[in-house]
Amino acid sequence: MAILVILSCLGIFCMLTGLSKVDIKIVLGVSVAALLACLGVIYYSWGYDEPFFNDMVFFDKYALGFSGVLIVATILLVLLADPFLENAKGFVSEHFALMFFALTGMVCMVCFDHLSMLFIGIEIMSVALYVLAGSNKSQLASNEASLKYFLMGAFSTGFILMGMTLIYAETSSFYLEGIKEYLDNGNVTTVLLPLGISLILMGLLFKVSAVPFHFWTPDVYEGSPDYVTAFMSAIAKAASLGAFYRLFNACFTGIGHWADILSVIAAVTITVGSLGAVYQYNIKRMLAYSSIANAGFMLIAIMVSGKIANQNSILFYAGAYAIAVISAFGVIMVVSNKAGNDSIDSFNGLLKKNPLMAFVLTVAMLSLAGIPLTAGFFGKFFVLFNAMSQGFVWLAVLAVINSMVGIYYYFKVIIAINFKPADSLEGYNVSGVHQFALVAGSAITLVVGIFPQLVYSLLD
Amino acid sequence: MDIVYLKALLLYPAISLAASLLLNKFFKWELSMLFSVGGLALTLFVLFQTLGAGFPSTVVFDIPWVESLGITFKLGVSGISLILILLTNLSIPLIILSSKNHSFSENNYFHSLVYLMQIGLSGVFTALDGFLFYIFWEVALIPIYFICGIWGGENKAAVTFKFFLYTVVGSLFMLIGIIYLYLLTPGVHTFDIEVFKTLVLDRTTQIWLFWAFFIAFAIKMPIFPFHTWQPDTYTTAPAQGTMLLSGIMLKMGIFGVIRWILPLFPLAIAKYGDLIIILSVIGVIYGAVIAIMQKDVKRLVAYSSISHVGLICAGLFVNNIQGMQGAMMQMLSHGINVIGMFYILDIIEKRTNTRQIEQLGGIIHTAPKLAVFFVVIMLGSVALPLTNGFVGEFLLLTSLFLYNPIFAILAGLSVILGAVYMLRMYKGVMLGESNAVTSTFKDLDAVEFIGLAFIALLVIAIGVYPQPLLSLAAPEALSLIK
Repeated sequence: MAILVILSCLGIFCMLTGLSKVDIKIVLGVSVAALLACLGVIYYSWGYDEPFFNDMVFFDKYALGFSGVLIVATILLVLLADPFLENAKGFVSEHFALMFFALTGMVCMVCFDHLSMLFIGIEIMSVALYVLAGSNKSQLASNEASLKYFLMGAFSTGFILMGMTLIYAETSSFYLEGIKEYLDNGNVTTVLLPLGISLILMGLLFKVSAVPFHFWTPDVYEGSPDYVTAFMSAIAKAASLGAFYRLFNACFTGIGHWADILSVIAAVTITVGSLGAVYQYNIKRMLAYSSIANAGFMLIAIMVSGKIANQNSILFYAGAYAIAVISAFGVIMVVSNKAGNDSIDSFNGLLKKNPLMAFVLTVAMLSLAGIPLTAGFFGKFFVLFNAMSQGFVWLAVLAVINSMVGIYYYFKVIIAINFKPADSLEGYNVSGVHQFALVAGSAITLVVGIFPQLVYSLLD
Repeated sequence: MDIVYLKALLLYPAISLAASLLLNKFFKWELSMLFSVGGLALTLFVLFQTLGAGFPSTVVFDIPWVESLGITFKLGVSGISLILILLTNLSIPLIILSSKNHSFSENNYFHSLVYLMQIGLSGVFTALDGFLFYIFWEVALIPIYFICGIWGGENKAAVTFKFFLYTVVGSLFMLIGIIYLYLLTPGVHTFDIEVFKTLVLDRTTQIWLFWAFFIAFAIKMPIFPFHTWQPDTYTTAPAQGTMLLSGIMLKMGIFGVIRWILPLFPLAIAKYGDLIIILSVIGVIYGAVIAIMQKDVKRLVAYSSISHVGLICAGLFVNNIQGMQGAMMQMLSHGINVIGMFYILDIIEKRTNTRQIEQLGGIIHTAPKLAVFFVVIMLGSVALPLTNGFVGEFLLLTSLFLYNPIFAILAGLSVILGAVYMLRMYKGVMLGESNAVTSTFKDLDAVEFIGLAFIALLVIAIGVYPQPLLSLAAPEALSLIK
């Protein structure tokens, strides 16, 4: 609970400093300290499994582990703020205030034990994200992204809410245990329950940008400012999948045909995502499609969750994915700021211009492509391994084929960075903090990729 | 044999890599030479401890890695893996030596990538855990991809990507096979290869697993018809990359057959062994015939490599001791010869800026030292008696003859065809009148002389007295014969 308190206070603090023109560097310093304090809280409350607010939230290991991943990723993103600050005009601390409010919502989403908390979490996160997507007011694309995201997001939230009421009508409970108990007794009579589950499913699939609710993703990711795209595609996505897993693992994947339905959705999502990414020349659009494909992989973990407890694999995957995306954006922000566009060609010859950034982006792409010695490899391995051992061999094979397609588009970036000649040899100015955060992101990816047990056994 | 030396031997590449990363821009050619020669010295020290006898299989590391899935960091050394470690640790100093006059040798990127590759190769040759084997298999691939891509010639991005995709796709089949074997292990699942060997697999299972593994290995070697990535990649890669690919990396595929296919899938071999031998023999003749047609010397040696490796692969599947021994000898000899050959071609290309046979000629007049070493290494390649190539090739042909004389006759053509393309190349490049390009050709400098003299010495020494190497792996080779 202390995490929620610290994060909301941090958000309010950032908002207030916006009024008094405090130096943004100080604000960011305080934010990092507060986020580190949250990690400290996680460390000390590890294993206590405490419920709060009349059992509406429950900080078990899963909730704490996911909050930890989200907070670590946010710390990295805050340290990578330099290119964003260079471009930003006014209202900078408000921007961070919104980010931390969204983070508060995300923590609610991964620790809820009562459906209303899930809904509140999703709303806190989404409303902040709608505003952030449109934060570059002078740019038409950013406004369009915001409007698109808001209109469709509002609908999906409505679906989720409607679904929750229908489930309540059937089970007379908003608590996960209550719903679970009711379903275990097997006295489902009405169509309200499947209807409710499908409505929630639709809403959540929209939030994680799974097929067929993915159409908003490329436009919104491309239109939003780079910094916001990083936040949405890495952290918000991890949180939404964390919430999805928590709900379905506790209640729904074990019953009916929901696991089969999810397996089909996962298969289609992975395929659409990776085929879509093949044709992109804009790196942000490419990462948008890649985020769709990655959501598909995590849906596999959610789907098998009814049969085996594999919390570790989704936590691992989400963490590996978030860190890789954040460090990739750390480089993309610098490069595309200078080039003035997001085309993959603007990365040509980065190895000669700035070896450190070239290394970081290469590691991030290797991790996203799932090449061994990176965290991304083990993320994919654990997920597919669990699917295979549950008999979903067809799904694993399909996913492997799609990872091969993935190699094609991630390596387009690697080839541009390392093998193509540079147009000019003009270097980049990268601050010390920024470099530190980039190195930290790569270090996490590699260390976890070499010692996966550090994270994989965390929730046991 | 004290196990601490074996531990040092396997950890040494990691130490070199750490040094190259930490010393950053101070880590140039000289330091890299020092580290790689140190590795060679350590290897020779270990070898001389047990010279003249079979090397007992020893588990060197056995540390839990991902406990919840039964993955252990388990490495062990045996006779065969020791020969391949020798080849690796012998080749790396030569490859680094040959990079002396290249600009990429001036900073640590190249050297770090080479050492990362050495880690991967040593790991593949010693891994006793199936999952670990796969990881090292991929670790060896990543650095060579970057070496070829960053410092390669024209059209490098497309060519190296094709190579990368081929090998990754192949190895994913292998990964699926490994996971399948894992799920078959009784009780608490494990990736231990020793446990895999105790599994009783029915014929159908063996057959599909056989293909899952064989495709990965066949792409790596490469065996006809999985070879299409190879000539382009060898030609486009920088000479040092080609040496790594052909000298050492190709042996990963052969070693994979020895480690996985021979012990695990005997029923599948009984059914498809002949097919593999036929494919291999096709590769032997096909590679040699195309090599004869080549105008580009590097491409010529690339095709000759297909021919040589085909013979080695055929020897593995005939299931007799001559085949096993010959394959092992030939893996080492081919590695040494092909590295020497690409080194010479690199020297020539650097000085004349061309690889076309018709633009060269008459180099012998200005570079007699080079000409001598070229002859020795070339004769090793064409398997003249008293050179290293002869020992392996003779054993391999004997083994094929014992199995089926027709295969031996067909594969024996490679000896004749090999002489044809090699001598034709030598004649075109070294003999004849010198022209504008070659008349000012400078003979070897001191570093090049040392490198080539060392290779030539090995060619003759192993050819004259191969017995220690043969006996090193003899017990293990015998145990693989069913």
